[in-house]
Amino acid sequence: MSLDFAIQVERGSFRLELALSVPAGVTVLYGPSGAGKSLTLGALAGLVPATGRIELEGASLAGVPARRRRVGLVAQEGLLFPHLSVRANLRYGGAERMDEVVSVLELGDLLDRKPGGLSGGERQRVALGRALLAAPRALLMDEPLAALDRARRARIVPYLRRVAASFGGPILYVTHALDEALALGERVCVIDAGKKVTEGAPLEVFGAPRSELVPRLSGFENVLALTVVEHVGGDGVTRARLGGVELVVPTSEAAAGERVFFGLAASEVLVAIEEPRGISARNVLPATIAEATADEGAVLLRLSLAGAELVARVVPSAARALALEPGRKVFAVVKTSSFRPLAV
Amino acid sequence: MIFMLPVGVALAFYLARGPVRFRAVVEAVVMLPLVLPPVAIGVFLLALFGRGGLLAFLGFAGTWLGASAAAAAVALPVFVRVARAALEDVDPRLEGMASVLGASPLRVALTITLPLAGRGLLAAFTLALARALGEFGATILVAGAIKGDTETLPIAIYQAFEHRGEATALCLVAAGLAFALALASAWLSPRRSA
Repeated sequence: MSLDFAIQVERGSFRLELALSVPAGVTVLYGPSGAGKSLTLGALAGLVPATGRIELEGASLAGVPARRRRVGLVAQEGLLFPHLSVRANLRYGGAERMDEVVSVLELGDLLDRKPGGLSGGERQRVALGRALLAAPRALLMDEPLAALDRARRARIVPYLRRVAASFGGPILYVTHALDEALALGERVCVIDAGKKVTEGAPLEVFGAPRSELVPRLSGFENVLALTVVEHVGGDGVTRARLGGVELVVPTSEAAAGERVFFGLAASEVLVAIEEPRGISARNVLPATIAEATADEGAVLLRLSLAGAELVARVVPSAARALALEPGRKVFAVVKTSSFRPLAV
Repeated sequence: MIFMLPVGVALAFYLARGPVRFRAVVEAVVMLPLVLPPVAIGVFLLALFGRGGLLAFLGFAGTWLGASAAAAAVALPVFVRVARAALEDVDPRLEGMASVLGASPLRVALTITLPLAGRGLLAAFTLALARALGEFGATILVAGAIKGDTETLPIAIYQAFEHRGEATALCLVAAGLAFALALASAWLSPRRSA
């Protein structure tokens, strides 16, 4: 079960040209607004004319009208039919697995209401249920959480996970939120200006970015998957492991042994050539400079730690004064509060 | 008016959502009665329905059916104009979503577009009705003025003109009716600010 496509779409002066293979599971399409993410979904759903090849489960969808493609679409604003009840909305594309979908998404209490009276989160759950009931072979989700505030987003993510786990087919999930991409994505494809920039596992794409675009979008050169060791009671900090290194990071809700994501901007990593003493920063980590590259008036240092890697950004004069060159033994210094939690 | 409705809805649909090709020509033809002198429309209709005309066999000339045809001809452009705007106000993304959910174009039109444009279509119909009620020029040519049969309100006013009082009374009725219909139309029109 997979969705394979290589499509071209022209929209005035904008040209989208994207080839991607979406296997079963969640593939995140990540990129800035105007990159062509929604256009891609529109073309796959059959709502936007496109040339090229689209194959779903080995059968070609090119030229097939939208209503015969059997793909599910969940839009950012839900796009529920405002004149129909929730029940009629759900049944619009099919009602075969009505009871199951209603119970999985906990829609029972909403059935007789009109979309206008629903909260943003409820609306998205109905939109998701409606898409699933049409018995799609692939799911396309266009920033389904973007219109929701933080608390509502957190509440709907478990539903999305449940659906993703039980759906079994390819899911293409468009977002520009790093935390969503990490929480839901099994693979990530980054696009910009209608072209693919990079693709891979989320931590490959975000954690060791090979393009300048990714950290510029995400705000973090370092995206780290840490394993919680223990919460230090009362202090609001957590000890967590990254490879062979133990870090002190802000506390999260994750239990010991669980994996948590943190973002760390390269500019917040200090580099010292001697071990600093009497310093408030809780993380002082021995490291070796693996690589030094000039980057827009700064120097990016790739530091290798015991079984882990960090990127630091320093000004050229600091790099010169401290002779920060590949092979040099240094200490990476990071404040606890510089680690930003990336949980939805 | 009943005859006009399906034609009007179909035309409004075409103009709002149909292919761009020929749209301008179709629109111009539909809008023709709006700018043509009603008497000229009457002449055209008479050429069509009258003796020797293409549709003479229908026997419309001089009957209430002829009066209806005249009313429909002048009401159509009014209806189409307002109805088209109502249909264009429907979010095309909702229609797209319906088709992704497997609905045929006909089902999309019947279950999504028409219900969502419902108020606007009703407003269009009311306004067209008001226009049709006031029709005079074309009617008197096509249907004549046979008392109690093809006697529309404006024709009755015209004939009652000799007796001032009666004519004035009828005019007041006409004004009242027109005002009520126009009010209903305005009330039904989609409120942009909402």
